[in-house]
Amino acid sequence: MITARLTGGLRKLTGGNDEILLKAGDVNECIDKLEQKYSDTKGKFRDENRLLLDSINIYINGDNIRDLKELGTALQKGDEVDFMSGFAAG
Amino acid sequence: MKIDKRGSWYKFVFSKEDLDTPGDPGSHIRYNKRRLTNKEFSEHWGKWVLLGESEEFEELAEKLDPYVESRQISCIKYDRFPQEWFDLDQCVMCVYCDDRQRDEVLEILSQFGVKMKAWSYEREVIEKWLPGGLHLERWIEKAKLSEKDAETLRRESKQRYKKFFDNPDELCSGWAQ
Repeated sequence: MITARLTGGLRKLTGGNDEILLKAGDVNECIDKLEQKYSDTKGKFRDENRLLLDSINIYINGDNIRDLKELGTALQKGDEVDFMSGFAAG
Repeated sequence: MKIDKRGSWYKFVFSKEDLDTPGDPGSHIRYNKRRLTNKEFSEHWGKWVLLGESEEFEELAEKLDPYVESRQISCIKYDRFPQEWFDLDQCVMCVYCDDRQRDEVLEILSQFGVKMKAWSYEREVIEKWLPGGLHLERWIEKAKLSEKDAETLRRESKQRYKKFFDNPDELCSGWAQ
């Protein structure tokens, strides 16, 4: 299991649930699972081409996935995935 | 020591020693007691980014102050209010350090119940405030600037960071916020 954590205004998309435990092999699958469970998250992280939106940052154990393999970054058991508005780190 | 200046959007925590050198705004940009150059700043300098309520951050800033005094944390900046022009509904706190000590700083934050883990390099922030960058363009859009004023702002932004990029071996002096 990994922990997906939604921060700031993104928490509204999951009804205030800010920590979600789920199984996912990579970040794309993590988003797919979130979208299946919480329909309001659909289209909030990826564009129509399934690319990460500029306005969203995703971190795995603190590291921005843009410095890793973006949405294809593999996830390991126990990983913590933080979703944050891209405007927060200014 | 907490710095709460009227008129500033942010509140800060700096060590007293750094406040004693007002003519040297980059005195806190250090690793292993040594000042960083602009190039090193670009490669290593960053922050842990936290989102939370203003009151929470006031308390956390108090708790982290001793770590800033002992230079285990370089400095801290946090919002008084959420930055609504960026559609943020919570305040942001940035806890600055060199990436070579970020794990140590994260451990300190964890002691105080911080769960979020979001490390952001300052080089990313600079890119966002350059012409075409996420932050600068959003600012222009929200402020409804005319195209002429927007171009002036873009030009000034480029100019602001020019000295930094043109002089990689100079000691980094940061910039006013």
